[in-house]
Amino acid sequence: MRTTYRIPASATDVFETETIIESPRITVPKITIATSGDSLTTQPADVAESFTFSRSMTRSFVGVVMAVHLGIQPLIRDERANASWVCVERSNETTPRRSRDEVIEESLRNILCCMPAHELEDGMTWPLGIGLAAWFEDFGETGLAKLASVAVTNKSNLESLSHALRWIGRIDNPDSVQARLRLLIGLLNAPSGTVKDGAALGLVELGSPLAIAPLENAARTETNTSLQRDLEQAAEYLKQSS
Amino acid sequence: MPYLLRSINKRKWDWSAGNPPWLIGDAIPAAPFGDVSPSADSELSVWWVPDDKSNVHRVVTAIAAGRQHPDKFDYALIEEGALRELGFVLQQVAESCPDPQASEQWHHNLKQLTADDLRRLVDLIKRTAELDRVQGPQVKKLLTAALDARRLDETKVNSKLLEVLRSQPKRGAQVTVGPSPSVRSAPSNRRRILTMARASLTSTLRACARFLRR
Repeated sequence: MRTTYRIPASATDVFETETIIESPRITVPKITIATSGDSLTTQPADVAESFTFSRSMTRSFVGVVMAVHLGIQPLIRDERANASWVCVERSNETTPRRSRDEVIEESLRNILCCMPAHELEDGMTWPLGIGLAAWFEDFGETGLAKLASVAVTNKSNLESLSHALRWIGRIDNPDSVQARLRLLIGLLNAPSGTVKDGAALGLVELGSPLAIAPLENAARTETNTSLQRDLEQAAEYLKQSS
Repeated sequence: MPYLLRSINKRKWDWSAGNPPWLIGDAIPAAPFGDVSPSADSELSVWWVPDDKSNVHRVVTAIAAGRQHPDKFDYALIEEGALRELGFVLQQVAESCPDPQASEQWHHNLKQLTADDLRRLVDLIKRTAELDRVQGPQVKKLLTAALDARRLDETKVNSKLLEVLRSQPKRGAQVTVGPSPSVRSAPSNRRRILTMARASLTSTLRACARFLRR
C-alpha cells in the first residue's frame, strides 16, 4: 500500500509549495503545529523511526550552509529534523526584555555617537541625518520626547545634539511638523547655547512662520550677544521667507 | 578696507571673561583654534573679500559645494590691513575647488604660521572680526543657483550634495523656503537595494530547492 502525506508549507518555509512525503508502508504520527505570537512554527515532532528524514535533513543542511556562507538569517527552519533551532530560540528567550523607553534612548544615543566629535562639521553630518531620520520613522513623537529630555539634561555631546536638531527640522514628513515644531521651540530654552542654536537652525530648516515669535522671545531673553544675534537673524529669515 | 573670509563655527567664539566659568583672566579657550587649524605645511586657507563684500555669497557657495549637504555657513571677515600689520604672510594661490574661477580670483593662503601666530590670529578675530552666518536653506538656494548657472564644476561638487540638490523638485526663483533636503531619499534607495538583493537571494534559494527536490 502506498500512502501520500501532504504537509502544507509553513509561513517560515522558503519552499512555498507543499511537501509530499511518500512511503510504501507507513504509520506516520501526527505532526503538531503550534502558533507562538505572530509566527507559525513547527515543533519538533515525535516521528516514528520509519519516517524518512532524508529530505527534511537535506533541506535543513542546505539552509544552514547557505545561511552561514552568506552571513544571513536562515530562511529554512525545518525543525522536524533539526531540533537545535528550538534550542537557539529558547536560549534567546532568556535574554531580559528591555522597555520601549530604554530601546528608544539607547538607539538615540547610538545615533548621536555615530560620528566622532572631531568629524562634526557643518554640512558634513550625513550619517547622523540618515540615522536620525530612520530613528524618527521608527519611534515618531515618542522618540521626540526622549530627544527633548536628552537635550535638556545635556546627556549627550552638545555639538552632536545641535546637528541632530537641524536634521529634525529637515525631515520631510508633513504629518509631524507640529510635533517637531513644539520640540524645537521648547529647546530654545535649553540651558546650553549650542543646543539653543541647533533648535533655532532646526526651526529655520522647518520653515514654519509659527516659529518667528518664539525665536524673537528667545532672542530678547538671551544674554550671549552673539547667540542673540543668531536668534534674531533666524526670526528675520523666517519673516522674509513666509 | 578689504577683508579675508575664514569659515568658522560661531559657537566656538562665544567665550568672554568668566564664561565658561573656568576661564581665568585673558586666557583663550582651545575651541576656536579648531577653526584656524592649518594644513600640514602650516598654511591657512582664506578668501579675499572686497570692501563692499560683493563676493561673499560666491565664496560661501564655493566652500559649501564641497560639503555633503546644505547647512548653515558661519564665517569671519578679518580686516586684511590688521593681518598685514601683525606680520602675517599672505599669498594668493588657487586651490582645487568646485568654483575654479572664484578660487583663482580670491583664494589666499596665510603662510609660515607658528603657534604664536595662531594665538594672535584667534585674538584678532575675537577682537575685530565680523562674524556672520548664512542660513541653511539660503545656502541651498545659492548652491542650486550656482549649479543652474554652471558656475560649479560638477565633478568637484560633493557627490552626496549633488544627489540632494537634484532630488529636490525645482522651485525656480521662488523665494520661500520649503522643507530642506529630504533625508529619506538615501535610506529609501538603500532599502530598495536591500529588497532587490533579498529578492534575488530568495529566488536563488528557491531554484536550489527545486533542484534538490528533483
